[in-house]
Amino acid sequence: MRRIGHSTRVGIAAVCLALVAAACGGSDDPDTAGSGQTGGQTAEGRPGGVFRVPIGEPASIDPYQARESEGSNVTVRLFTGLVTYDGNPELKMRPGVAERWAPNGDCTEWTFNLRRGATFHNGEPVDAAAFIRGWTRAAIGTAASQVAYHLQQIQGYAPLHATPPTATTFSGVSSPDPQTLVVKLDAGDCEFDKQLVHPVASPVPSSAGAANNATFNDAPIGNGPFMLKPGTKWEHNQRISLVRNDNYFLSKPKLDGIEFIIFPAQGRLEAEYRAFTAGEVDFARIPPTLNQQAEATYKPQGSFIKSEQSGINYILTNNAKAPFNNPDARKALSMAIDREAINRGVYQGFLTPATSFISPPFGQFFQPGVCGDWCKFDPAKAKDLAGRAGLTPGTRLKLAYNNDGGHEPLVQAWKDQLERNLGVVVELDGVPFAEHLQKRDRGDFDFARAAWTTDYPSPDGFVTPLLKTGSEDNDGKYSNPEVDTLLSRQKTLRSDAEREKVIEDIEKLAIGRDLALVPTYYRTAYRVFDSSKWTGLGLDFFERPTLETVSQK
Amino acid sequence: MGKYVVRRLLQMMLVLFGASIILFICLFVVPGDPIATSQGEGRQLDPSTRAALERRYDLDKPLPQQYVSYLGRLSQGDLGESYVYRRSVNTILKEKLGNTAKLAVAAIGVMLALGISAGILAAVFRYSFFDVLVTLSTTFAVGVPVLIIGLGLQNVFAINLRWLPLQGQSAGNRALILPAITLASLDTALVSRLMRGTMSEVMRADYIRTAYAKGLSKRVVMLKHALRNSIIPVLTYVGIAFGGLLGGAIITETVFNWNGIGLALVGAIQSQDNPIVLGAVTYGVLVFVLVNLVVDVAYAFLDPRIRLE
Repeated sequence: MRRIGHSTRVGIAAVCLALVAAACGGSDDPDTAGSGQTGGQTAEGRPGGVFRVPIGEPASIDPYQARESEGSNVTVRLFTGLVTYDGNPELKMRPGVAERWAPNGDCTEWTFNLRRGATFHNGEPVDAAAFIRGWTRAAIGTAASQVAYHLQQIQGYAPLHATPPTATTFSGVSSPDPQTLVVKLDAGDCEFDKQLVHPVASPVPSSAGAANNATFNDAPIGNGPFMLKPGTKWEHNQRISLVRNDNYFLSKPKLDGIEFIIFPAQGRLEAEYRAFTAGEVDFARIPPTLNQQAEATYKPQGSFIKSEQSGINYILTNNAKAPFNNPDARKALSMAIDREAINRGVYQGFLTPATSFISPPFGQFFQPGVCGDWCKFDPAKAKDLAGRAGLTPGTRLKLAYNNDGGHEPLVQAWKDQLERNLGVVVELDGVPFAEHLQKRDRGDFDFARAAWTTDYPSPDGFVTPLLKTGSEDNDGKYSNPEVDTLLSRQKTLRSDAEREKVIEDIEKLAIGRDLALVPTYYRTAYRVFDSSKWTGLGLDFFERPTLETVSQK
Repeated sequence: MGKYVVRRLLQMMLVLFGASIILFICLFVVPGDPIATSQGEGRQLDPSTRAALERRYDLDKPLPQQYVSYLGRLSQGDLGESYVYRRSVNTILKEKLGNTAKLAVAAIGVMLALGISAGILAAVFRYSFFDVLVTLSTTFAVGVPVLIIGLGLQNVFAINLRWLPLQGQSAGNRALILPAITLASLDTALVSRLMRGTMSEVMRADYIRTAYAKGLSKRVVMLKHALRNSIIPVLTYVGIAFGGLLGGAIITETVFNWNGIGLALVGAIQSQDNPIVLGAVTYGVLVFVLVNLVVDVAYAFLDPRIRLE
């Protein structure tokens, strides 16, 4: 889970999302399959071919530090973890290396039964020891991994992750036999398996060594559907060449290989889109300003992908102090903003205004309209609520945002609308992202531009960090004991149906009644790909192209 | 001569030392949080990871101590580790150095071949159609930003005609053509103007008239007598330009995704990857000082009237 500073994922300094272990040759999420795109299941192309994908120079392709979108895009092709996710709306995990798995009664201990016959690209078997090795290697303090926190619920994480480490083994992970992995958690979590889709939970072979092993960093030996082309390694700032792993234990991809072509972070979106127009790559992201042009050019050819992603853009209100400690003030703010007009004016209509906090890709957990009237533009009612909440004309409000993400048109539009509709005075406070986060931490704002996404397919990744009292990511300091009780409860519910009910209640309370934060837009992703040559390409839950299902026409 | 070079080299050490202090202060004293910025956005680092990184990069020590240990490593040629990529800065810069040098050499080739010949022809056939053409096109090359020239060449030759690769280096020497022309455009124009100017001046000199009077052909007079005497300032210019090009060409490298020093520098500044910024700029200073020295020494060889003091 993480905050997002940019409206599009641009680069290493830009975003980090993380990922699922490679898809198991399965289906696209029907909810995320967009126009002009064929779902993986229906794709009946010829096997073979090398698909060229532009990426930015990754920070790392080694699973221990799979911290951003570019490197993770490679890592998930090379590694498959215990479980996988195929985008199903029930948010059910599918088997990866584990064939079966189950928690104990209170979800504090998980037992994974590993399949036989799964091997690394070098032929070494993938057994429980390989997972223990991979997790320990990433979690140990000296690795300084930024994504190790995905393993923090496991017993023994704290001493292992300390600087300097006071343990060298993961006390909560054991293997009674090579095909069984037992994981003990500090507290019960009935969705722990979902967090294991992150590549940091990948197994590594015995040759991996410590996290700073430069040989393995540049040429990781994994167990995924693709492997590094024999004899090659990551050619920094040039390319990473992968070939199909013909010994893959799940369904094998159709492509012969993937060529990741590396672009500089500087103006990368523009560069990769231009390279696509010149026929030098088979797929590309689109600079937001060119969405319209790209749609007009490529949609008729069936080369334009539109995909609803799990992220949410919202307005973070400082609920710890006046005026936004009053729910009516938050509602007034929300109703004084015309989401549709801003979408048309600033984003050429390429965003989707939000009517809930939990976004569409969460399938059954998605409750459209839960925000109710609060997410509808109604300046008269806004003014009325504002008056009652002490948000009187002339009130000075500080709007914090990060000025390195191209958000100026958005915050300017907010400012104009709020000043016009409520008579307040909005002061813009833009600083670079890292500094912006510190300001948020200190509570040095009245409201702020914010975005959030999660690394695993569970709405828990939204509600717990942002709504729970005392959570370090709850920058708005929303606090409601009723919500807290429900949040704790849903963690230990084994039944998905029951959990769904509780999550619904949480959103109804925190958004529908309290408007703890103000949802603005869902995250919609747009891509182009060469549909004259390829079929079966979409974007998965993690906003990555489904290279496991793509095939030649 | 030897003494002069030694003295200049010692001066260079001083320049480097001064530059390193200024750079170090600029990068490490200014407000900002390089660890947070270089580690990407999203979640703030957990305290243990931050502590591990600060320890790894000496950032937990007081600033003077950081500088001393930086200087100690620098004196052994070790530029440290990139915060973002966690790889040796030496390795990163070495990968890029070859690419930048290749592009610089190609650009110098364009500059010499195109710039000098155009300048000579313009001088010899003054006020001819060709001369006017050179004047116009050089004005264009000087006036239009490199970025526009690069994007324009890409649009025509890579996107519309698809004769040449748009970007990257995978297509071998063909990939070099557009970036080399782009990078050389401004300097080629300046070189041809300089060449035309000095050549025209020399052509009015007495000894040229003498050479004609001796019955030498125009060709011999131009190439043997006039060119030799007018080319010195041009070569000086090209030499200094080469030094600049070796330091990396930010715009051209960015437009053509050319994996060179310039590109590394921009990316590193943005992500506050200070070890790379320090390494790349130190390298740039070094190259610039060295090239200047070489040009000064070469001067003495080309023109016996110049003495090195």
